[in-house]
Amino acid sequence: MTAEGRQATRRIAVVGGGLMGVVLASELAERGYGVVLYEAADRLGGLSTYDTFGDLQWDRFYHCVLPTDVDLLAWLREIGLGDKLRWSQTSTGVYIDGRAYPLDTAVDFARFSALTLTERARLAWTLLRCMFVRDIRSLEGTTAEEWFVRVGGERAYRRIWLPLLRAKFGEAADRVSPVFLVAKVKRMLTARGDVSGAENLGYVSGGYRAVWERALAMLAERGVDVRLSTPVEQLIPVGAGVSIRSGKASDEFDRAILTVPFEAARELCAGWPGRSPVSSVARVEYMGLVCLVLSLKREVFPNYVMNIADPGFPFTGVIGMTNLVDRSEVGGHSLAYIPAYVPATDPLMAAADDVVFERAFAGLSRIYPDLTRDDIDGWWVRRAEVVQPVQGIGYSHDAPQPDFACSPVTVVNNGQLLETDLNNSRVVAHARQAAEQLQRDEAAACEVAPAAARPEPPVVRFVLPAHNQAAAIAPLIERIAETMRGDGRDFLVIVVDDGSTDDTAERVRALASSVPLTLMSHEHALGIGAATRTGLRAAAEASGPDDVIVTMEADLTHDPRFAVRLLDQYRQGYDIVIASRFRHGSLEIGVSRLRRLLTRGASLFYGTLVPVEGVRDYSSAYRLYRASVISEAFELLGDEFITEDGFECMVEIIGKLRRLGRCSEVPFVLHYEHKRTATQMHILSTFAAYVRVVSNVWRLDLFGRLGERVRPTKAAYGALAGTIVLAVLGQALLKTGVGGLGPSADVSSVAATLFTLPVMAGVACYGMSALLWLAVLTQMNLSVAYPMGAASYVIVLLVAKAMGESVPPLRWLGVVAIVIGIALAGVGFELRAPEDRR
Amino acid sequence: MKSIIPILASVALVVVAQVVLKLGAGSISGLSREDLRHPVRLGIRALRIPGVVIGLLLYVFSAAVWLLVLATTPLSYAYPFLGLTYVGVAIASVTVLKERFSALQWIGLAFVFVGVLAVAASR
Repeated sequence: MTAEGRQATRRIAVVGGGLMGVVLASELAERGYGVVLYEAADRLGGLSTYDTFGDLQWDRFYHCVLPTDVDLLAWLREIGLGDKLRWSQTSTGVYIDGRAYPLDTAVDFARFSALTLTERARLAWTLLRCMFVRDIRSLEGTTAEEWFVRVGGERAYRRIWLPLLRAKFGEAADRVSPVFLVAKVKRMLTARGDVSGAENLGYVSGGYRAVWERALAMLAERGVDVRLSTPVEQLIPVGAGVSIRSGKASDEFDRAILTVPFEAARELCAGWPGRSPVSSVARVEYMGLVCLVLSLKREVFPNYVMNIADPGFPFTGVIGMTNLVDRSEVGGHSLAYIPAYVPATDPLMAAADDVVFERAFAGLSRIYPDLTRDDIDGWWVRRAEVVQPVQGIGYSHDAPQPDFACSPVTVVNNGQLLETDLNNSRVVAHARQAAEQLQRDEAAACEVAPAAARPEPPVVRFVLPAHNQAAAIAPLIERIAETMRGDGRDFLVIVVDDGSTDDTAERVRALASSVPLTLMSHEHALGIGAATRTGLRAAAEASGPDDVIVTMEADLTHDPRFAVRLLDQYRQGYDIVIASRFRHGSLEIGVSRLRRLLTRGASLFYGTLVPVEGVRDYSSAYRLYRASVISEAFELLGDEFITEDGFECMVEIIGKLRRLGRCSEVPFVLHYEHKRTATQMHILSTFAAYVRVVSNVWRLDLFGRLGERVRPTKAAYGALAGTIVLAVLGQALLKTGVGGLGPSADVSSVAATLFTLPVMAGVACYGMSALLWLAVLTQMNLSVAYPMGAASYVIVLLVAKAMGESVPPLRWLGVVAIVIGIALAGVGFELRAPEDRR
Repeated sequence: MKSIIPILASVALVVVAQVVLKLGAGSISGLSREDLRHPVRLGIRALRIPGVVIGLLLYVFSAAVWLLVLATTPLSYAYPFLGLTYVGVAIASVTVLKERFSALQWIGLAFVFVGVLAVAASR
């Protein structure tokens, strides 16, 4: 790696000395940056650190290395611990209904007598299904329970999948998406080439203590300034960089990377003037860990892992550490960890240590009857409040990936590990990717000035058309206010009450004192299109040139947090940003397959006829518009801008704005399950409305009403007419000149006619017609020139008929098809997405 | 059916001529309405561009082949084949000039193609 001079002078602070921070620091140092690593504790390691238990030292919590942990293994070898790796055969089991079952091999699964034969067949099917999930994030729209019950049945879920989930998510298990489990199954099945082979797990001799001692030496070798026992208190901007305060000292850097949870990162940046560099909508719920560590005189627990599903036993399993680790490593004792994954607010987290011990012991002695108090040499309770991110519905939207381009502060944490279960190998991979991305982004930033980004809009106006939304409107407005305030923005909510018969208006008025809002009313219900028109017009009139307008449905199906994503995308230089259902990562929760198919089909249909560059979801009502675009549309079109009173106004609006701004989309999560009033789809009337909208947009566009078009002059029409006349005349003359030769004509007899009058005149007409056609095309839109030019085909046929040729009906039919085709091609050219034009 | 070969040859020449002309005409910059009022001056300016000259020569060549076609086939049979120039130019635009086409354009060109097939079968 060559260290360029520019990079050598750049200083980066990495906050957090866990595995993520250590790998980042060493990777960045190797790329030539000057790195300082901050760690609040007196040692490295974070959650993977080591601890003292009586006379023995071992990992604070339990860890192991899988043969498939290629990134972790590579890193361990890189820092010189390759020869310290130890491997052993271990076993896994699950304890259900008072019985322990081994679950190490496919054979164990097949023999798993807690399930009936058919259930086991379904289990095999479930494993297959997991293997063939291609886009694992597409599963984020359902819970693991829903998915696994649907695929494998209720009992298999309770007996296999739920214990596995509870082992990491505790009581949150019923809220997580299938992603974690499916990733685990995929990893398990792809890793084991030999399905009958037992587990093969590894560890580093000396435990994580050896790892961190070695890492510390390695960081020193690479010139990283490691500051232990130095808790960071605040980050504030200094020039284009950042200043980090810890205690009385503060230090300046070109950028800072925070390897802490989003919440903690936001707190560190609380003093940042203006918008925080940490996304205001990133929010990850974590499970904490309460872990009882037992030192025993003898090996009581036969497995490395026993997942325990037992009501009344608050712990999720037993980790018999010395089934993996040689007992000489831990002073000859037998060592076990009894973990409980609980929220930070759980009573167990705050319970006294001996309460935790007694509860665990009571359960353990029931499950392992030969366990007595005499077996126990010593016990300790260790806690961590932030351990396992709860990967719930739509999780990837809650944990934005690292972005180094826009800000000097970037969060890189384990919440960003998607499509995987949490493990140290993935942490290493994530840290490495982040370091690579940082270098890429910095190289790109040298070429593109950051000033190219749009300024922040002064005011964001929300337009909410509402008809009988009494139940939803108040919570929605409150969430908009919360989101916008959290993001440090000036905003206004415009509610258009479309003739509600419930107390929608009263609910809105009740919020007027706490939220900046305007209430507009239609006396009678006119439809969402009419309400949107009213709201957009009012918003556009009140807006300054740099303000933006966001439209949303008022029924809680649209989460206001995505407005922040729309605003981010807007700043990249787009004029219209759509929250799209049809992008990678988009989810539609609670939407039936049929409805999905219909909306997709409708968008495809409309987008074929009225394509707009950058748009896939033509009917999404959740959009951001630059206010000036809406004003311009009202100026150009007046009342013709939005003529549809129903939901079809959405496709109408986007179609009519197609030449007025650049469009883009961001993925979002449609929460259809929050819809409190049913909407019916009338397929026929919707189709009719789409056809109406398409013809309306075409008409306006072809007559240049949507802006930015060449109006053909009279001269251009004249030239077109001349082209046609010359073309027809030329053909007629040529035919007259050579037609007399008959079927026996050859090259020499044709050449002999070259200097006869009709042929010379015909060639001249032919040439002039071709040249004139080129001139016409520079003066006229193809949508006009092509259809009119195609008329020559009909005229030539008529002329040929007049000259005595017989024209069979099939030929007429063919010519009609040709004329229609040329006309369509011309219209199609004009209706291409505006950005496509050259 | 033998007469189709010279017809297609002529069509192919027109397509190549148009693409070459397009590539050449691209270098005529800033065409104004005033220029169009003086076609002779514009013509002389255009004739200095190699692409335009080659394109025009190809046109002349296609006209010669066309003459051969008209000598042996009815005008109402041969002429509709020129619709294929739209299809040919479209394919050339996408492959050579890297332009993007809308679905409607392709539908239109499919119509043209089917129409030409019908004409070809009408003899």
